[in-house]
Amino acid sequence: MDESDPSAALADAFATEWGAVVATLIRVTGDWALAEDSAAEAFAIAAQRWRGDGVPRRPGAWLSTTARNAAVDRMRRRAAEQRALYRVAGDPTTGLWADEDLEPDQGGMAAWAHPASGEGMGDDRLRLVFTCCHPALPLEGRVALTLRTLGGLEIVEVAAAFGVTESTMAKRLVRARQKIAHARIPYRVPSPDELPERLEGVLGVLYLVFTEGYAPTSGAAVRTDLSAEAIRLAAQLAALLPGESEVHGLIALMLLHDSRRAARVTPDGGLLPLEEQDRTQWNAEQIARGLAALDAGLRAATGRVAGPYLLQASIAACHATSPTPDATPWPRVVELYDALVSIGPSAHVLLARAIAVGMAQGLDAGLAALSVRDDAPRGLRLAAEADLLRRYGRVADAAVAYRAAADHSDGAQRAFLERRLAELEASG
Amino acid sequence: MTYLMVVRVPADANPTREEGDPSAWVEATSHGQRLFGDRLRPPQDATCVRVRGGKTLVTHGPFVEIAEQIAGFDILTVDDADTAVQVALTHPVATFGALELRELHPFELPDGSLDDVPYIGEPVTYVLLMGSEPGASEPDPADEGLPAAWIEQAGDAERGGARLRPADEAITVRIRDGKPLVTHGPFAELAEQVAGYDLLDVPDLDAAIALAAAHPAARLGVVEIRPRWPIWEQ
Repeated sequence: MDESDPSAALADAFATEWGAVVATLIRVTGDWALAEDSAAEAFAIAAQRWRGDGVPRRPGAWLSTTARNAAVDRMRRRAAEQRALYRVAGDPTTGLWADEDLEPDQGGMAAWAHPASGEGMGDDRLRLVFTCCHPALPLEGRVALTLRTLGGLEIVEVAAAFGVTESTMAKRLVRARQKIAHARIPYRVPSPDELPERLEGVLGVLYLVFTEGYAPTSGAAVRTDLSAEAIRLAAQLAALLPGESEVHGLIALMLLHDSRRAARVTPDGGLLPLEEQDRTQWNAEQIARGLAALDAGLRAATGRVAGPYLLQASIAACHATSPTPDATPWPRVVELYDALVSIGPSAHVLLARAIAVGMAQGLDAGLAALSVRDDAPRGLRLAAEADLLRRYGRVADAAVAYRAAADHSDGAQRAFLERRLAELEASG
Repeated sequence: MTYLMVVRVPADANPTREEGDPSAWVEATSHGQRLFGDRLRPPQDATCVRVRGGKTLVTHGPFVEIAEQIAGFDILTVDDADTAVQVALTHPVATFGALELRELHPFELPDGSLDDVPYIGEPVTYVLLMGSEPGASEPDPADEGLPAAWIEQAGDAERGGARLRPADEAITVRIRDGKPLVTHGPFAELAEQVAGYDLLDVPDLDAAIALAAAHPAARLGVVEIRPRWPIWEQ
């Protein structure tokens, strides 16, 4: 960290310390809103003080202490307001409201983990991760808590990223916090036997945040911030759970996808498929980081069955390391899809596998692989068929399939299919 | 006879504090008719648990999204159905909601005795509502009843519960324009109906989810977990 630059130090501290500061405040106070507000106050104070006094030697410890003091102040003020309220109300049972009943729980405060004790902080952050992504919360609430409480994004930023108003997003957060309190969702790391299923849920939320940034469901703009945020949060999770191969797998998958960001969109906002992308535009640094994360994941998975993120990342790596489309190791891609199918044969995976089979073993094998699944969404299935026919130069058949596929699709996907159709018709 | 009285309140009901206050009713029925009962936290605090293919699926919200959600419940012990109806008609919710009377239908336990303890006693922190679902697999005859393993796992955390007689045997009680309306059958013809309940005392939602997931109802249908909302709490 650059000690001489307070704003860089603050940005760095925000990225690395926000979650830990909030996580510990929640454990000690049990009050999510209070924890967020106090952490925000600590960072605001830091923004002022560090400019004048310089960056403290241990920014994380400084922020934790400042946030704790802010929380205690807020609790005292609230207690004083309540006392005033009872006084105004003329409650006859004054003895009941003696000061000690309304003071913050000093015992709890004394039990505050020392900010420098790394392990306690990690535990708190994990508690926060798993509670934000608890399956009993509505999905939109999980995403909001993950970005706001864990990630430290402002409510207005989260709202903008999801195309809703600030008050809608604020309500989602309030409802999610209420459910945590009313249904008594525990603030803890799941037990070892629950951990795999619950971790799957956490990774699902992070991937959803990533894809919302990468392929937004509303609006055409690609929202870089959400993707970067998902990658950052997943990297923090990997540091906390280094033995969990799927966390590394998810990071690898997100980085390898994100590396194609600049190449996958045409200037007018259309989507470009892999084989048409200018591979020199792929982000080499992200690919290197993605491959490193994939390595870490495969090492962690040694002796175990690779999970879906690790497998998808392995497929993405096959593409990322092929300098040209023709260099793609299709037989290896088919193998990886076979492994994915054996875990969860979703329609999407089966169609993607069929394309890979077509590329590895010929058109007929690909078309046969396509026909194994009749319940796939019609638009997707037809698009896969059209793609295979086109790759093998069956122009007329491909055009028919593209036209049908476009009729069953919408948005960017439809635009892409129509462009393909136009290209075919122009070439034919 | 013992009944579970399901208290249903439409989402748009807006009773005054006086109209909705059940304390006089609770007082009047507390001498031998009402065994136990309370408010439940609203549907947005509900959590559903299903077990499919050996996997526990946890979701947010109630098991059926309808306007007339379950707002509370009471367990009544009365001589006959007519008395149950009379007791229900005096409940304040009868004027703006509905009271669905469901007779208990105790399971036979592994040791041959009947699971007919509708309420053991305080404390109770959560209520499990066992829901039937359309298309859910028919219970295997071997699946009938509660497995000993569940009873053992629940231990002191289980504070009573029972299976209910089918929904088409329900009696639904309302008062409209000052006139009692008593209908046979559930309050609404839905594919999803409450098929049983269980009272729990566990410290947090994860403990409730673990017990719900181990219950046969989670495999055959769905278990909705509703936190109790004691009437004195805000």
